[in-house]
Amino acid sequence: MHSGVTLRELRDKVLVFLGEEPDFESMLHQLRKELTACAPRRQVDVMVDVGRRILSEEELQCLERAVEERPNLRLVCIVDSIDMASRPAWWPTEPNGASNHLQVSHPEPRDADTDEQIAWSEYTADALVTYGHEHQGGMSANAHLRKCTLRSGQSVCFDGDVVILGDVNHGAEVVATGDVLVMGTLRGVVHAGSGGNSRAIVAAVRLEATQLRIAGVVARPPDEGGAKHATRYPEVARVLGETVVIERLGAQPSSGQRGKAHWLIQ
Amino acid sequence: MADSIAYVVASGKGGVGKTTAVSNIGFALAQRGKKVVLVDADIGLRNLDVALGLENRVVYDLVDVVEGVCRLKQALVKDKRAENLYLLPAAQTRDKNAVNPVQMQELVERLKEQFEFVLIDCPAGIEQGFKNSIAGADSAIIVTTPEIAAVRDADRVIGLLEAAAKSDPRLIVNRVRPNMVKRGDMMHTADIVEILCVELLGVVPEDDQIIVSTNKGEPLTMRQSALAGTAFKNIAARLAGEQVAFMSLDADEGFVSRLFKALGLRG
Repeated sequence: MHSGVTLRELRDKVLVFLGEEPDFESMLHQLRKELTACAPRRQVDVMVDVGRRILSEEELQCLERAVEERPNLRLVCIVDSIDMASRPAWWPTEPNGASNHLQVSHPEPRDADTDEQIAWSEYTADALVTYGHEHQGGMSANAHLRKCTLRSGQSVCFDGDVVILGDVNHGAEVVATGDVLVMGTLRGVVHAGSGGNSRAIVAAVRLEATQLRIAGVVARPPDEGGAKHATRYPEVARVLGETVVIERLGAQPSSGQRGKAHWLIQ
Repeated sequence: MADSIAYVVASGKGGVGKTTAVSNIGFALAQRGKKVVLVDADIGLRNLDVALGLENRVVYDLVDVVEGVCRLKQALVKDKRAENLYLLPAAQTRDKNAVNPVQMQELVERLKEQFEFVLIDCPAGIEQGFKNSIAGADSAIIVTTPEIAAVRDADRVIGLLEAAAKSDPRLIVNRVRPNMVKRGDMMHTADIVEILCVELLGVVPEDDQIIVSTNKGEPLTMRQSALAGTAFKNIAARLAGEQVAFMSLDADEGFVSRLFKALGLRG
């Protein structure tokens, strides 16, 4: 009997255990159900334990999206349980006899905040993937909004997300530690995730950047075509492994509609 | 004077036609009966006097006025070909550090007391000369050619003008070659306006006669025929408040080419 997705809700954190359901899609379905039922009133940090599951990049992204879709849930890290020795002190110690996996069912919550904090940080110290949130997630307090076109020679540098209501002309620059959204044509140079956050994205109504940088990856448009490749729909650029991939904004990755173009890495 | 206005004609890029525009538009405005003064702010590399054919008559210049060596009236050169057209030339033996923005602003204020239109010919670049030129201006006219590099520089200049609170610059697209635009080898004016997001003041076609006119020191708007001359006259009319439709710049078709077209021998 495979254990399904379980949630453990702490004071301001939610621990998600993906269980042993082998089929990824079924597991995802269960996860979404659990997360919907969870519905916290304030924003909580979410840690996902994938158990001994080996996830592909695509699956990882599905997982991220499943969590981030829900309001008030902020994905902080993903851990796996492959190394049993890093089990934290408050973890229930009776493993399920049928498998070597931990099955958590109705564990007693610890009272002391400090204990939890320490245990939490130990547990997540070896996280598979950690999500840097330098600020409140999404477009809330720490977003810089520029309500005009950025002309050549002008630059915007911000610690957080940046939204430009207008174009970014050639010779203009946007540097942000978070995401960059351009509600217009992006023609200049943009650097998202400038502090090293490779999960940052660049999105634009028309993405025609001279050069695009996300974290440490620098990319330029494909050589052939240039203007002929100009698309008429909004696109988003993100880093996938070592490359920058441009996708149509709103495309579902699981539907097979992969990135339209792989930009050339400098 | 009430309703006096000072325009700075800037571009960023050099050689796109600022001085040509200033001399031709200035002359056309004077022909319409306006009181016009043209100010050459390109200290050290003065050209406006050459374009107007007035270089032999320059005695004092802008720097002399600012330094108090002479009175403003002594430095103004009257163009005898038009009523109420004057030139305030630049100094050739000095450079752009000879004046500062405050001095330029005061000078332009004094000129606005006497003239309806003050056109300031700005040097290329964005350094001291540019800063001096925009100081006294109420509004700006940006000149660009239909080339990517020129448009980039114009964009930069527009950004600097907006930062200096000289809002609503207007654009002249100069040296347009309609055949090249048709072939797709040259930028379309509509694309330029889309990128720069400013109001279009005029489109001036490429015209060999411009070179002749600048060398001779006779602005093209003095004569009737030339295509570029008409474009500059229309620009002057718009500045004077008239609504003038933009010229169609399709290449003139003679009888033979129309015949060829009818026979399907030419695209």
